[in-house]
Amino acid sequence: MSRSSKKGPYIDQNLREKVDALNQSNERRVIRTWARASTVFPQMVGHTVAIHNGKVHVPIFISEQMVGHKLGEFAPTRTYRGHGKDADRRGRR
Amino acid sequence: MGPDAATPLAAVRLVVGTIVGPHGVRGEVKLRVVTDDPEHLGHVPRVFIGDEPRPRRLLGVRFHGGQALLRIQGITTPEAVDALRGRPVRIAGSDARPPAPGEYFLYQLLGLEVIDEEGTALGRVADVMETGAHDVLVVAPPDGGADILLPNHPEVVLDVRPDEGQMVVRPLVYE
Repeated sequence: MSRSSKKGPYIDQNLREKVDALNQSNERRVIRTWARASTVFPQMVGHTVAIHNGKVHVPIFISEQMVGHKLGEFAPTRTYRGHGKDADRRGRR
Repeated sequence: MGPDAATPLAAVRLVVGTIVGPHGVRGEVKLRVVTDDPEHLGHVPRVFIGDEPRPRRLLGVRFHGGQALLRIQGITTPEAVDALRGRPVRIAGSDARPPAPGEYFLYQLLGLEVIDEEGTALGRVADVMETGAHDVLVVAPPDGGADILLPNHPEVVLDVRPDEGQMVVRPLVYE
């Protein structure tokens, strides 16, 4: 069942306060968070958020396309290590 | 081990997938694809199977159930494919899709020395982590401490110089 639209998207309050503080001071610092269920909100665009994947905080640069998604979508909790160094794969920016 | 970061693209062979078995009775090769660009296989004229020194002509490619089905010169029976099960299929670097500006192959990133704007060494790229957004570089510090994670984003990765074996980054400042 989806979340009631009356409530609006879930946003972690601690995270929101930290992002607002950074926006007010016009600083660019990485925010560590465990709030994987929090929705990416527009004020976060341009910041780097280190999202916990269960082991480490994975730094993710927030872009406009991520708004509306959950933070956890961008820090997978499982890593596939099957590709060798010589795989035909490119670093994605 | 894989090729060195400074190796020119024309001199490397890149793995596009692994043979998982035969498809049908005419010797089509079922390939578990690892390449970023499976559609490009349709433009590749030759492939190397395992450690074979000579390439084989790639006669056709189609896709089925998330895997690629290849018709390869000299392989015409399911038994012939069975004998190759588990072998990697490689293409010449010159046959790969040329990287876009700012794009680098994994082998060009892994092992690079990471320095900041002042030239201080932070470590070497030990791994590239795939996320739901951009890649994240795992940098192993020289003193063996905890890995440093850096987003592979133009705001952080300022310059990549595979020829010199170096990458210039702007280290993250945590709150």
